[in-house]
Amino acid sequence: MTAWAIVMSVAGHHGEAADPDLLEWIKGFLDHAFDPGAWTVVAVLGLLIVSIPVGISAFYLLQQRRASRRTDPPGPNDDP
Amino acid sequence: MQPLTSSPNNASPGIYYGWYVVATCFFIAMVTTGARGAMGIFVIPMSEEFEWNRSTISIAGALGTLFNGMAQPFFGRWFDRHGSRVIIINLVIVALGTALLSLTFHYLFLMFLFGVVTSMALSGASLNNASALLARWFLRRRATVLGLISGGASTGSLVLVPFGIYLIQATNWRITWIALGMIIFLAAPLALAFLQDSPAKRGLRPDGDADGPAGRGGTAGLDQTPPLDTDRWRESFRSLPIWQVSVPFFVCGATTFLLAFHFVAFAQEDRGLSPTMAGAVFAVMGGMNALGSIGAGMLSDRFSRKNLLALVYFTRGSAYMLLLVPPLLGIPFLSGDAGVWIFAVVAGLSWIATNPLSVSLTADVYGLRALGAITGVSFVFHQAGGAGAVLLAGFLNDLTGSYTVPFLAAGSLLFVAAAFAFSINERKYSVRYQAQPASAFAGD
Repeated sequence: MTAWAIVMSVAGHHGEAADPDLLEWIKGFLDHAFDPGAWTVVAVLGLLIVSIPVGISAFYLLQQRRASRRTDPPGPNDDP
Repeated sequence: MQPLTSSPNNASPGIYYGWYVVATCFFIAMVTTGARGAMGIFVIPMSEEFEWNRSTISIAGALGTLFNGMAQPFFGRWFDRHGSRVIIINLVIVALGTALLSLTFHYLFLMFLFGVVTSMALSGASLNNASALLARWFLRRRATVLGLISGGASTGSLVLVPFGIYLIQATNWRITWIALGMIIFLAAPLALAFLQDSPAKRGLRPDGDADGPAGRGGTAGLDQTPPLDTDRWRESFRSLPIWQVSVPFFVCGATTFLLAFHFVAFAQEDRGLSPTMAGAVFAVMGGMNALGSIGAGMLSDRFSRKNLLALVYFTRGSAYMLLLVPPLLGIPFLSGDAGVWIFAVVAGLSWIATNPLSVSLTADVYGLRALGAITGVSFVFHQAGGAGAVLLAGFLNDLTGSYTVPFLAAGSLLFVAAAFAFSINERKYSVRYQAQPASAFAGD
């Protein structure tokens, strides 16, 4: 075995980051626990993923709006 | 423990902007690591369509590991000079590269795009650079936030791998690559909106503090320049502390890669577990990662970092011994499944807990100017340890017919790593201990 082949064989393990046994177990677990259709899992996990950036942005905008309300000087017709 | 969103002398009411940077880095770590971890699910469908043998795809992964590891110091240096735009640019490249993998028609295309382009770009959008960025935003809670984003990386695999598995089942591998690319791309506008190079650019101070030292929990002195502050990574390697962090990090890589690549085989061959049970144990280990990382980060902002780092290595070493010694001594309870499960929980908790502790300790000692490059070089130690351990374990397994010898060797090295970490003179070199009473930190 050449040095290059050794390096490749070692690092090659790392390429398959998810172990096939582990993947089989995850799928079996989800199938058993929820008995979902494939699209159901895709939709639920997809929504979960998308909700994170949307949530961060929405929260920031909400905070900004609150902060600007707090710092806006009262207008001439506003109650003291 | 102080509340996360404010401090006694917070500069402004509301949420400190740094927390948006944390949330963004969490999402970036989650989608990039998760999509990368999903590579394994493409092995079978792509091999079947192109009639490749599995090693063809493994070589693409191998190239990826090499390029990702070797590029880290250079991309760290790039980050030190140009800041968060390096993360954003590389995030877009990773997203485009991942989506373009859907067009794979030849193994050279896969090797170039996955093995070279996206892997190198991933170094730019890496946890290392995100950690270097967050170290600028947080001083008192530095390790806490680094623990959080390390936890994000763990969470990514737990979410994106099942997502990919089911999407391939519902559609095909080409659409799944596009979907993963689009998910990574979601992080780009978020990064563009929220990633800023330092709190000063928003007129803020680290942690959202008002002027002056916070004076609680050992924060006095954090405004000072660390004793070994440098803007050149080579200079840092002329001093002792970075070796006391990097040598244990080599052992960290060796002992985690060993588990990642050989644990399932060990559990089946040496302990007689079924493949699905071995997979379940491994999954539990993965699930514990985030908890360990976040917990270690939070604790180290209260206590001495080097003591906690030593404790993490010691704990992992003890877990290895708990796994291996009872069968040798004939202790029945711990020799069975129970021993493996206990190992999974304890080793899982310590798996990436070293990362926030090592990076925050490095930042405390060497400052922020070359942090990306310094941690990038440290990461090379980690990867080198991992590659060496995987190779040696395979060789020793062939030679002895069991994983006991390599696992014992790895476990023993963890105690050496713990001693290295414990020997760091944090009181002398860390900025946390400058200009403050000796009793400011518990446990040191």
